[in-house]
Amino acid sequence: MHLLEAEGKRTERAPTYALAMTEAHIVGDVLAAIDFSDRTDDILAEGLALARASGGVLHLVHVAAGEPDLAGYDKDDISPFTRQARAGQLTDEHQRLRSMAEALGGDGVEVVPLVVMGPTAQRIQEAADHVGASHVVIGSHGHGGLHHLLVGSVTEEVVRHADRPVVVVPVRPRA
Amino acid sequence: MGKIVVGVDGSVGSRSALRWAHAEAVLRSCPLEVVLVWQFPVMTSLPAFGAVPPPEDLSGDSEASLQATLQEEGVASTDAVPVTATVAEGAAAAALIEVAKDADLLVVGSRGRGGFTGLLLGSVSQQCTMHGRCPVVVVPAE
Repeated sequence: MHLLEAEGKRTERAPTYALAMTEAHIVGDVLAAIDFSDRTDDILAEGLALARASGGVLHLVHVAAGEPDLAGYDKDDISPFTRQARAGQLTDEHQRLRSMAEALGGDGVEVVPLVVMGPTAQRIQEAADHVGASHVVIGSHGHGGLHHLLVGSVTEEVVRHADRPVVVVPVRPRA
Repeated sequence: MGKIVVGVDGSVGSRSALRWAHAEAVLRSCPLEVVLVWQFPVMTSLPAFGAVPPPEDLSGDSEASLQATLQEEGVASTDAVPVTATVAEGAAAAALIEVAKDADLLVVGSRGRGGFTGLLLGSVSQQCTMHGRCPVVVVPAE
């Protein structure tokens, strides 16, 4: 690869333009999609950096799996136990997200936790609309090759359908 | 201090990416590197003798169009935000990932190629998000 470097040229109308852009940029908050995976810290760091730069609120959104649909004829027997376990799980997720938000807050950036349930990519977009986020931060799950081909990924779906900038944070270790 | 790298190819989507990257660089007071990647044209038959311009000419054109884009979008170097324009040759995603390997952010435009075509062709932004080593911002066209 050839690399040729050239200095950026100065233009006269730059300052007013830069100011206008910056103001447009400030409007809106940052939504970080949190799935409690290993690299959650990187996603939080990126969300904080964006929120700090733009002066917005950082919304931590965790999308929990939807209500379990039970198939089978003894559904009435199983259902209460499954639901109870699921409710415990949800409470736990709420708790983790809230303590995460509390740990991050007080650093000049307001951090708000939110747990929603349902299909992940769709709920992330709805949550972004709901809070009026100007950016979405999400992990690149980094499933390569075959997995990606077969399953697709939430991140890809979010990027494909987003009408706002999406920041994809690599979840593989940095080389 | 880190830097923000943005890929520009003259398309509408990449201009949105450039504007976003510049605004973010201003907010963070960090350097901005604007990268244009060009590739040798793929030829399926032999061209007439002398029809292929030498590589220097193509990179020269790329650099001129990159400077023109910067000027049109009002992206200029300041003390707080030094702007570097870089022309690289190769496959777009690979070249961008290489340039941005130590960057804070890599910014690319989403070409908005939806559905089946996107699925078949893949896209630069998708390759960057899958293989990039730094956070990648995909900016939709306005």
